[in-house]
Amino acid sequence: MKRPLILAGSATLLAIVVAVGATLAVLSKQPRQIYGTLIDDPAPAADFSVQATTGETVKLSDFRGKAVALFFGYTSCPDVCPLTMSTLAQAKKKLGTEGQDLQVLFMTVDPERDTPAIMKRYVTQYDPSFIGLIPTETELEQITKTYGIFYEKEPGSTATGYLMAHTASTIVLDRQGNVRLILNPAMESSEMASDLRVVLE
Amino acid sequence: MITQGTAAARILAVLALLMLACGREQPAGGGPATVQVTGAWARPAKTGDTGAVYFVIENHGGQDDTLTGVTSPVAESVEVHQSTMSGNVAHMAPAQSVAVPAGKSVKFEPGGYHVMLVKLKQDLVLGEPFPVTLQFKRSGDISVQVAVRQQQG
Repeated sequence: MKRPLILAGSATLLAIVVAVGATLAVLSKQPRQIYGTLIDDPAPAADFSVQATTGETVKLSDFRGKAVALFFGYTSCPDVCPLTMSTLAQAKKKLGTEGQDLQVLFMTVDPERDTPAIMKRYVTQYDPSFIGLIPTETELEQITKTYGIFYEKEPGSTATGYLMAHTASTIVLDRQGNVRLILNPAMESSEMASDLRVVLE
Repeated sequence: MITQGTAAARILAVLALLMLACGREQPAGGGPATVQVTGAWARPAKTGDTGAVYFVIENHGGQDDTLTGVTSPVAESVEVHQSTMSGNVAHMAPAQSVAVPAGKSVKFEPGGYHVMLVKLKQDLVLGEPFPVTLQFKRSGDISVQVAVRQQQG
């Protein structure tokens, strides 16, 4: 009496295992949805060396082994820059332990006003691991040209002083230091996390 | 004649007041704007830095209104700004006024309209609300408490 029951049970179990396996196989074959822009033919990111909020000069290539999210902004920017920094901080949290392999870098396009002290206070309020980069005007000019980043002073009020127009995309490098992904400020943190997971794989 | 004239003027004035009162009870019929400001929030920020306040302005009235300015004791200066994207480039420009048409709502949200708090006089601390006052052409001053929280999404 017991044997047929066990056999039937095993058959059911086997059927479930096969079904789950087949579903997983189908799912894994489907291309993962990308919310930003994934670069199909990743090229090595041009290296640079600038002053950082860690108190030392860092090279972009120092971060090899981690994925790097590089954003260009300025600290008196009230809207798009905090939006992007907050979203990146949340995405990093959503990545869990994988998030430890993501380094966020915020390079100022306003080195005239963004001192290392201001930069440090600014970036670490989003996540203590975030690093601010403070290039000289000449370094900034060169780096932004290489990366296709636009920045320009725009008139503001007496209180704000000048404002900066700037490219608001985040450039993501994979662990090997290739430019792999572009994120935009309109993305939600879950979307950024999903894209970053692809780069971290 | 003079007395009669004054009486007539008084009647007219009373009638005018009555009409205004009627108007007030019928917002859909062209009465004064009934503006509400809801969901005000800001991210935490440090003294000396720049902050941003977001909210929704709803005009339930029958008349258009205009936001002409915002004040707050927490910053040296308060301005209404609008972020716009041209391609991948973010621009920001001060907005002198923001129209709030009758029956419509206007969203102040990241990447769009926002109130810029210039040079904060105090830290904006998570969970500690602070006041702002919105000035409207028709509805006058409306004060709201701004929740300090992390952005969602």
